[in-house]
Order: sequence, then C-alpha cells, then structure tokens
Amino acid sequence: MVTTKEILSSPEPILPGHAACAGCSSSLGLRYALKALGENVIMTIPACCTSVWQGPYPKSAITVPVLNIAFAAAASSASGVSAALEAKGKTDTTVLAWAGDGGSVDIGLATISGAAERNDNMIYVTYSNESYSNTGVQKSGATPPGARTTTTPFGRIGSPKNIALIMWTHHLPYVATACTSYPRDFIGKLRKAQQMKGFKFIYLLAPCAVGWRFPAEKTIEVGKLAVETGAHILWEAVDGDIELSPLSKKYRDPAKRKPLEEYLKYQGRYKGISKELVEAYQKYIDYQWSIITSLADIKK
Amino acid sequence: MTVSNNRPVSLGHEKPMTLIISGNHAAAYAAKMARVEVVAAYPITPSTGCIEKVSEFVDSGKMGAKYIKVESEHSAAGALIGASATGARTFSSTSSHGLLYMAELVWWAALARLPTVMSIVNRELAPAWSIWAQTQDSMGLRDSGCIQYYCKNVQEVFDTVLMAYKVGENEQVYMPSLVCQDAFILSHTSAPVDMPSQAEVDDFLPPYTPKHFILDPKHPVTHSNLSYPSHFREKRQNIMESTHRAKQIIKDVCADYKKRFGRFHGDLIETYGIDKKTKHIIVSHSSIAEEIEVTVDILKEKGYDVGLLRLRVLRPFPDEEIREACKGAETIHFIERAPSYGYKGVIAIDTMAALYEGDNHPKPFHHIEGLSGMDVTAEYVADLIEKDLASLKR
Repeated sequence: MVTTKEILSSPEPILPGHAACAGCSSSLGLRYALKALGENVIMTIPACCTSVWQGPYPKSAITVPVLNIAFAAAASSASGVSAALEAKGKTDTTVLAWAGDGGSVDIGLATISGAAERNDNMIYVTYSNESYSNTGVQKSGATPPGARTTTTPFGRIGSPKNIALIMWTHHLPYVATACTSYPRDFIGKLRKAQQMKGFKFIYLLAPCAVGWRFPAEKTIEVGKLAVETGAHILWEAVDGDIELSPLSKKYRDPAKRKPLEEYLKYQGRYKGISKELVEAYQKYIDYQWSIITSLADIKK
Repeated sequence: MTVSNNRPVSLGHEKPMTLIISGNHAAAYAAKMARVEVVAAYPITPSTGCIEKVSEFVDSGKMGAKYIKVESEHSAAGALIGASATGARTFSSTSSHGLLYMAELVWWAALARLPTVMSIVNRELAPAWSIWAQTQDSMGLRDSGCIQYYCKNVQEVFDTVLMAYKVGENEQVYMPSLVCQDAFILSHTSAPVDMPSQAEVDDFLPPYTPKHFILDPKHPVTHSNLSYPSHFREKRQNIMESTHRAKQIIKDVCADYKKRFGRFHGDLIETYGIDKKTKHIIVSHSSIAEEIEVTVDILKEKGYDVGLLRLRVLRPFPDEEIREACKGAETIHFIERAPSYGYKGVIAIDTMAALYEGDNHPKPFHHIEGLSGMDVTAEYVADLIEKDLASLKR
C-alpha cells in the first residue's frame, strides 16, 4: 500500500488557485487520483463540480490534458480517446473519466453502461456528493434516504441506485468503492485498476460541505464516519469477485459500527428530518450490507 | 505533436475502379479510402447500410479503423469528439432521430472545432413514423457551425465524403461536416460509382495532423473549460470567420478534385441552364434537384427562359453565388423538402435573405414538395412552374 509520505512528497497535480469551495473533497479526490495515476493521463470531465473548480479559461488547475464534455458524455468521449490512442499505438496513456454522481447514475447511466459492456479501456471514477451540488444541491439518483436537498425539502423519500453494483453486473475487470477520507485505500485501488486493461469503475464517496451542510473543516471526519457507521461500504471486485476492503471488514458486524446518528449529526441536510426517514436510511444501509456480504460469498 | 506513420490499412483499391453501389455503401467506401482511424456508430434506418458495410470492412481486415459499437447516437458523437480531440480522423453515419438524439454533441463537435465527417441519410421525423426522405433532420442543425453538403446522386456522396475531410481538416476551417443524401432515393439505390486508386486518394488526402489542439500528456491543455464573455466572444468570432473562409476552401478543394479525378458536382452551388440573364430560376437541393434538371429541359423546350440553381452547401451559405446566379431573374421558384413551421421552406428563407442584400429581387414562389420521400417528378415540377408563371399574367 502507498505510504502517506509518498502521497505527500509526489508532485502536486492540482495547481493552487482553483475554484473549489472550502472543504471540497472532489478536488482532494482528483488530487489523489492524479498522484496515483501519474502524468501520462488524459481526462474527460462532463458537467459537474470539477468542470467549475478546474478554473476558467485561459487558466486551468489541472496539469494533465482535459476534455470537458457534455453531461452524459464522460464515458463515450473517453471511449473515443481510448480508441484513438489505440489507433495511434499510444497504449501507455491512462484514460480517466471523472464524473459526478448525477452525470453517472442518472443522465450518463446509459453511456457508462455502454462503455462498460464494450469493456472500453479507461478508469471511470464517479465522485459522489450524493446530489447535484454544482447546480445548487438538488436530489440525484445517489441521494440517500432522508437527505434534504433543494428538490427534496422535507427529506428524500425512496432509495438511491447502487451504481457500483450496477457496474459490477457488467462483468468488469475491476469495480471498487472508495472515500476521499481514505487516500491510501483510494490510491491503492486506482493503481490496481491502472494495471488492468478494460473498463475499471470506482465509486468515490466525496462529502460536500456545502450540500450536506457541515463545517468545511469536518470533510475528512464526515467521510470517516460514513465508513465507521457502515453507511458507505468499502469493497472491491477483481474480475467479479467481491471482497470487503480492510477498512470496512470489521463493520460487517453491526455491533462494531458507530450509530448512524454520529454520521448524521454533523450534516445540516438531516436536521429536523423525521425519525421514519432516518430509520429508512438505517434499513437501507443494513440491506446494502446483506447484499454485499452475500455477493462476497460468491466466487467465480 | 507526432502522428504515427502507420496509417490504418485500406485494402482492395490498388487501381481505380467502378462499382455499382448504394449511397450508404458509397459513403462507407469513401470513409475506408480516407483511412479513417476511429468509427463510432449506432444503427438506424436508412443509414444502417453504411455502418454495416464499415463493419464488414473492419472485421474482414480491409479497413484498419477502430470501430466503437456504441449504445446510442449520443455516444457515437461523444466518441467521435474524444477520438478527434486525440488527433484521429473519425467517421459516423446516422439519420433522422439518430441525428437529433446526438444533436447536443454535434454542436459540441462544431464548437470544439473537431473536423469529423458524418454521412447523414436525410429521413423524416416522427410522429407519425416515416422512414422516407426529408431534410429537416440535418437542416435543423443549420446554425451549429457544421458544414452541410446535400448530394444529388451516389457518385457525389462518395466524392463529397473525401472532399469533406479535406475541407474540414484545413487549418483555416477546422469544422465538422455533414454529408447528406436522401433516404432510399440515394441511400438504397445502386448506381455506378467511379473510385480513384488508394494511392491517388492518399495523395489528395494526407493524414490528419491537427495544429489547433490535441489531447497529449506531453503538452497538456484543458479544453473547453469555463470562459468569460470576452474570451467566449473571441472563440465564437473565430468560428464565424472560419466558416466564412470555408467557402473559398470548398471551392479550392472542389477544383482540385476536378483536376485530379475529372469530377465536379458544383462547389457551393451547381447551376443547370443558367446564364446571367435567365429569367426564371428554380432553386432546389438534394436528389430532387437532379430530377429538376429534366424539368429545365422540358420547360426550355417549351420556350421558357428557365434554369436550375442547386444548393449544394447549406452552410456556409453561398449568398454571393446566389446573387450572381440570380442577377437577371424575374422569378425564383423554391422546390424543397424542408419546411420551417410557421414560416417557409428552410432554403427559401436563407435564399431570400441573400437576395435582399443584392439589387435584384425576383418574385418568389414557394413549394414544399417530396415530404416523406413522396415522388417529385420532372413533369410535376414543370407543371408547378408553368402555373407559377401563369399566375403572373392574371
């Protein structure tokens, strides 16, 4: 596993002066991602927070080539980049599609599914702040039960899509979940994915101080609590075989998880939300654990 | 930036040849001979024949392109953008709802200055379902910046695909192109197509070597990030100027093509039976225009001073050329497939605006004909023109 020293001492791929909000974890996430993948990377970025915080023309905070593209087209344009690189024999370049949850689980779902089914050569990272944060925090298909957004003012009713599992059903060489609070885990997963050919998918939980309404300095803590309460399960699947990541392994036992309340208490989006909706969230989490642990028992 | 010398293979064209093929296949042959590097396409009637032929070429090893079998037209255009931005020559084909579904990214390709070429089979839009010819699908993208060619026959489809790459990839232009043909009337009708040898095509159309930008980790650029109004205006101004410059580039490329291969279908416009004094001018487009050449013969026989102006390129718009051709015209008769609901035919709108800027203002007659591929015969059009002219005498 990568050391903290190595992360800190490697070249900074995100330049100072970018336009991310205070406490933004998507900018942290991309910093880690590019530290993991190196300089020989081409990125596609659809409409999402990163399309804004990369900074306005004629400057850019991102040190690798970036193709900004329409909302639903992160995966399809990355497929094109990948095919062109192959046509030109430049197969050592890593193609990174970097999209938010709305651009992945909602408007871009068909596009990712297509690229995954074709096993086009790229790493696709969905950094999820569990809402359309860039447009002012509306409900997305990744918004958890009970969460307040500007389009669910009394709390989200219903359950989010589990995009990582949806991608897992595509028979991919690599699928994983990660969280910006655990850079060593995330970087390790990216490097593993980089060694593989084909479509690799990582769902990165990226807590959003503005959207979730917590103090900017709590970003890392909130992300950790997501894992420690079991709300976000860290796992990976190499060639289909699901395995809990070491950080999440012990939370297989519900007794070892911190109460969900610990995670929600920092988040203004859960303030005043009905007990029923919070219970619905807990039920959703427990069910997700049943699914993941059951699937982890299946080996190819 | 470096471009690999290992160009995609294109086998089977060692010598010039004539094949009897459909418009769809003509576009596929041209894409193959252009040594396209990346194809991304999705099936839709009636353009499917083109991508089926490309699949056959690729899977049999005769065409060295990477072919991405995308899950939608939107993704077809997305893949073309990614590949073109990485420096590859790209190709797709679609029609009707497929083109509208990818419309967002057709605009994106244009505004990103990526010179991809697509073979468009012009087909009606639903509802009601119809698979037959009509040009609203591509004409609805008139303002996107894409160069739009409307072909009158299968030979012109083949030649225009090759010319479209040469024009679009010119560093004075850098814009995508739509090479349009009528559903079934051209897409599914076989006709003899003369093709040069591969060596002659290679000489005419060298590899795509973009100078404006390319996604290259050795020279990182961020493309299309947020731009404030002053920079934005500059970018759009550049597109305006480039698309205007494209008029001369199209003329030059068509002249060069004629010199090399002996074929000329007009450049921005094609005229038939027109001199500077022609009194009655029929303006039309696509395959209908070829039929109207016969109309002109019929009417001339009857003593009418009539000629045909075929709009070959809708964008950039040949306004000066139209004014020149219509210098002596007293009447102008539009025979076109595409209406702009709430006004007139798409071509009439643009043509009349062009004439307004000149000194001669012929009286217009408007005819929307051939909707849903309905047959438009030479005799029928002759009758329309005679009635137009008779109405003047009343």
